[in-house]
Amino acid sequence: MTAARSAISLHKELERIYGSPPGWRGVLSAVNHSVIGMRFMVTALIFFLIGGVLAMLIRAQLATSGAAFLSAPAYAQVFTMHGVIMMFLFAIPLIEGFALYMLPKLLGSRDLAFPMLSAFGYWCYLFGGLILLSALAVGAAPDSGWFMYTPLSSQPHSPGINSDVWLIGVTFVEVSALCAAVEFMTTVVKVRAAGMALNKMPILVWYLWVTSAMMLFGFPPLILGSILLEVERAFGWPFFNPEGGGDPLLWQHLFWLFGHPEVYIIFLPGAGVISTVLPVFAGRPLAGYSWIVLAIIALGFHSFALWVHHMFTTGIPRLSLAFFSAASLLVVIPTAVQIFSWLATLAGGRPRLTTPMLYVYGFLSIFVLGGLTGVMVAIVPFDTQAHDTHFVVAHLHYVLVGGFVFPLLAGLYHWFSHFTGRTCPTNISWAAFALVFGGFNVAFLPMHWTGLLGMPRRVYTYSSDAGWDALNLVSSIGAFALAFGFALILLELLHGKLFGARAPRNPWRAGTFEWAMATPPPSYNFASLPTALDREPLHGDEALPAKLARGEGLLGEPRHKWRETIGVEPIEGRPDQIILLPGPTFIPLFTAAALGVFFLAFLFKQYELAVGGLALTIACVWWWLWSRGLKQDWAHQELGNGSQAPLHPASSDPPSLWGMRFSLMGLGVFFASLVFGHLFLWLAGPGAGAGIEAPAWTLWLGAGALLAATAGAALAQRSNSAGPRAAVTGSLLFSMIANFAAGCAFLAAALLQPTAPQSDAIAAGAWALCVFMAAQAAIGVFIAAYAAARYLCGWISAQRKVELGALLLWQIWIFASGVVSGALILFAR
Amino acid sequence: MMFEYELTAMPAREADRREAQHREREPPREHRRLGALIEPQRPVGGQHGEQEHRGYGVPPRLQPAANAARHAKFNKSRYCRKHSKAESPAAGPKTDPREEGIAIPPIEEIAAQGCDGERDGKRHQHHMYRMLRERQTGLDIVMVRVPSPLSVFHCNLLTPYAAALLSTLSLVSCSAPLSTVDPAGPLAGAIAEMWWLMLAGAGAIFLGVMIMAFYALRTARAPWRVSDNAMLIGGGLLFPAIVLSGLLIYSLLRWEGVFADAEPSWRVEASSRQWTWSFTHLDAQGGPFTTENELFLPVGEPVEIRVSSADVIHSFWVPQLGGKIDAIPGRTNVVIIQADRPGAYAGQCAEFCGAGHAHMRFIVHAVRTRDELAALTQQGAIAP
Amino acid sequence: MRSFPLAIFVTLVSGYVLWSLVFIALYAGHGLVCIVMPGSAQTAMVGVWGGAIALHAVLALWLARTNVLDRNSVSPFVRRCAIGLAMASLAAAIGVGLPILFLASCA
Repeated sequence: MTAARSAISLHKELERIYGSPPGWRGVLSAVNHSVIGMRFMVTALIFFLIGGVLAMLIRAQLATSGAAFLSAPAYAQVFTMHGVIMMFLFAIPLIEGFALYMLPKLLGSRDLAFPMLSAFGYWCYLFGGLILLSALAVGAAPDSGWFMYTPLSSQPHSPGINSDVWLIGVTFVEVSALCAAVEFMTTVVKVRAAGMALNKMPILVWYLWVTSAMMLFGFPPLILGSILLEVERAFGWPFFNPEGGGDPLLWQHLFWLFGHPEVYIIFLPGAGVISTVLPVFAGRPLAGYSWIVLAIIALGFHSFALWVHHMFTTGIPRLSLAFFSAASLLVVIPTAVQIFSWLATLAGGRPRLTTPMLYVYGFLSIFVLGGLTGVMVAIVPFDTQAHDTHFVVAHLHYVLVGGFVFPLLAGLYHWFSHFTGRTCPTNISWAAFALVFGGFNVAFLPMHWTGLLGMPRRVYTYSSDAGWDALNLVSSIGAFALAFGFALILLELLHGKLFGARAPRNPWRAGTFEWAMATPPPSYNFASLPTALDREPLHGDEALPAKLARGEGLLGEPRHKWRETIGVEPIEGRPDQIILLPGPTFIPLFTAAALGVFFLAFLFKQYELAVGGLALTIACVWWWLWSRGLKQDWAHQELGNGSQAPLHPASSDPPSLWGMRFSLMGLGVFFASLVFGHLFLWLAGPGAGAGIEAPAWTLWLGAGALLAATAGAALAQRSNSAGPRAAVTGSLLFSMIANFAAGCAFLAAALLQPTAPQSDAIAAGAWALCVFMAAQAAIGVFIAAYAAARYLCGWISAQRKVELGALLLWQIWIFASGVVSGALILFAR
Repeated sequence: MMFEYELTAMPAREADRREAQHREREPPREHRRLGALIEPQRPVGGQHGEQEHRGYGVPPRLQPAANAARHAKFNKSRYCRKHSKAESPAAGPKTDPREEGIAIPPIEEIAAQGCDGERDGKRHQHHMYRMLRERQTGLDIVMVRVPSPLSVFHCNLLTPYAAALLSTLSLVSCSAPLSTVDPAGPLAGAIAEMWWLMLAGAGAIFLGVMIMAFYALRTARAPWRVSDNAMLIGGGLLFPAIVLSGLLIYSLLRWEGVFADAEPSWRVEASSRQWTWSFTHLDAQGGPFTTENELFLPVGEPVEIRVSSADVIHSFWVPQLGGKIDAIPGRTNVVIIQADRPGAYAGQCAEFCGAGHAHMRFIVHAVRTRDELAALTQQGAIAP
Repeated sequence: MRSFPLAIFVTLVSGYVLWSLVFIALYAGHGLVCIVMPGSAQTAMVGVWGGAIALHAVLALWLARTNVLDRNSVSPFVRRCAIGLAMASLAAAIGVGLPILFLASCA
């Protein structure tokens, strides 16, 4: 009994350290991943219900021919917002929330690498989502379709605020997706259980890791496209306007460069849930772990080579289309590998048909059908018929509902006791499943045929002579049955949450770390941290949860009121540092609010206020960064197994530098998209624009100044380990001034020549490159100034030098991008 | 312009029902029938409101000799206001549901519908229409259906049985004005063929996967002896690789073969704007002529359509003749289509283009010979 | 010798990084070839394709023989994955270029 008591006292002590403050203060300042993850998921589910109601409106309108229920403009807002909500406010945030909640638990750690970033992401998501929702409430919602094709969405054809709401709201929400991507990437690389080598990571971690990599590479083109379109709408830079030498196709390229990976970003976590849940109920390990790892990495790459298959009817040359057709068929193979792995797992095990398994089977049948129609639309000639008809609507719902919502429901039932600590009554699960599965198929199976009979998507009404009445009526009936099914599930889950019996620990006898804790999970996850010996550690050691609770794992002794977790070397998982996690703080909320001021001011064209919001955001970021780190050197600390590790600010490989590397990758994709856009307009655009005649000396000066700034950053880092203090301060100040000069030089390149950005698209592209470089140089000034201030205040020492490393990385990147931009501005005109 | 769409392959009861409805709403039939669609939602704008509204009708029961009279009727709007009462027929002669593959008798009602529509004022969904399926534009024609190499899959052969099964639900009828599975040209035919082939393949694969998945649930069985790697390599790699390479090559060759060496001598510029199509027939005898929402082309030869847009993106699509092509401002996209049978085929804008998208339709008239086209143009029946 | 982990991750996916470049080269190259040399476009495209396949083969061979991944006592798993992905990307490079053989290049 002494052991049990010590587990309880350990729990109490840890709860004092990790728990949130009571009341609203705690709600607004929470950064804990379980809290934020759950918040994300609940918010996403609320948006799902709203999106579902919109879907019901659509089906009510289309149930009969010539319905007068919705007008064409109202219908346009409804179907646009249905897509926007389901894609941007439901699917992606739900994935983020799920990963936020689950990743540290699967990895055997206490939190993610950057908990404040999680909270910031949530507030961005919430505020962005509220902007979109308020627009819907006042009838000013986006109405050009969820992919916002220009010129329908550009100023002359959508003069209202509707398109701006999309561009700004979605961009705001995507800030959270990018933050999540950087955070998850870093977490999987650095914040794992001791000994968790790459091949011992739970398969779901691989899925989430590849998903976040895809988010990191997929969202920047969308954000770039949104910025360019907003700049076109607000200031008349004609990127997409053919009259100014722009090209509507550029928008489609940028959008689908994001939009196709998006489909797999949504599908992969679903598949990950299947790969986790299915083996548990088949009673055997997943067949072909390595195969699946290869398949999902391949899938990640392939998914970026498919974007043109949304553009088969845009008049691109046949052979080019055929490349994308071939690529679209190739992507079937990694998917087939996964399907056959699941089949092999089922075949070699003894599956139990539990509620989660119902949804696994539902997933299998629906997703396989969606995949097969996916093969069909990958065939170019067939797609020219099926494209933009209800066939595609049916296909995408089979893929997204089959590939995401069904796995999600499987996961919800599977982890329900983990989320709530209670069991879920199963007596209405079957009925709910029957309604959802049956309703879905009744709604969407006939819809394929509706499409083949020629019903285009996005028509608000149709004539009875078109021959689609019966089919549409059936679809609508099915859709309403589906909605009732979801309502039933919601009731069941609410009932389980409120009145369910206490759930036993690990009710399904799963093998992964998330079940090695009390449920619902305590704020610190593990009282002491586990060591990963194999992929399913709970199967190897049934007593592990109890041992961890008694503090027999690593970092089981709370000290200095620190929130600690282990950082590992990325390949083999050897512990190499102790990561100190931040506690509850309002900084993420304030930063997101400041950013919200910027976006809202921009939305309402109050540009002075927008500048104010930007300045406020920068100040918040400074505050944020300043709040982290250590002001003195600490000795290496005990891990609890006899070995020692440095605290993360003094580590040679701190998570922040990985965060910086991954952020730079995302920024690199953003820049590459900008370069692509400029080259595309220059080489393939309809108009022969003049471009700008930037004075060459400005560009040489800009590149030279960036090189000097890079040298300054390198020098600062060198002097920090062996040099006089003044040398460090001096090089940082030098770097700051050089960055400032570079920024001015790139601005001068645009300002000292006569062509205005409004005159033609190529000039606008060159202007955009100049502004982008100036902004990057300004960030360089910020980082250098910050590093100098930190150094002067004693936050930086020979061991604690993250800021200097980050500055050097940044400088190397902007020098490289500056050279490319300069060359483009000079030659591509 | 008011053409009648009629479902051909539908069961007789259905046709009768429709005819009954026709009669019942006869006098202001146009208003009842279309008004409900149009009135509640009049797309914004009005920049096209002023444009000339040309009613357009196809005369009933054509007699070979009656050419002149018939052509005179083509330009319905000129007569509309004066003659609408006189010309307004009782419900036009109705077709019986026809047997597949039989030469089709001309079917028309219409005539004065354009005039009725006219009374609705300047609404610009003047292209709301109903259309007869095997309609003819000017001549009595004996239809010949070109057999498809995969005609065993051909929808129209299956339809009577399927329709009998699901009588009132016309769920499995392939016939609809905008049907992609009721092809009337070589490109649409090839694509429909691909569809039936892929449907068969997909069905087989789906069944196979499901059988495997559900077989695993049998509790009384021993676990399979198939190794994981055999499943993964056989099912995950080899099977899809082989099937998909085959499908890719087949589809590319079939697609490439349709208009392999076509050098169309009838070219049409299709310009779109919200929410109308203008078709300029470049190779008409006597110089190019332009029509709104109606496209004329000769039967049996490849025709080049050059598609462009003056405002937002639209998409040119005549499902029975071939796939769609987008009309993108700043670009001209070219598509080749061909109609194998004379008749009128429905076209629809397929890219969402704003409030009037749903009503942005047009009609393609496939005329038997060039001479017919020439005759039409020479008599000024078509020229605006 | 201690190695930089990011380099290991890049090596892990090097096959598909190459494939991405090849894919861009095929797509962009097609546009270019049809402007510059429409007469012998198919030959040129076959050349680009063949070159891409050869590059993939070289990479796969290099990964199989190099000690870059071994030297750092990286787990055999990473090495296996790197080679597996290189083989997969080789197959993908072959697959994606198939249409060159069946379609007229500049139609």
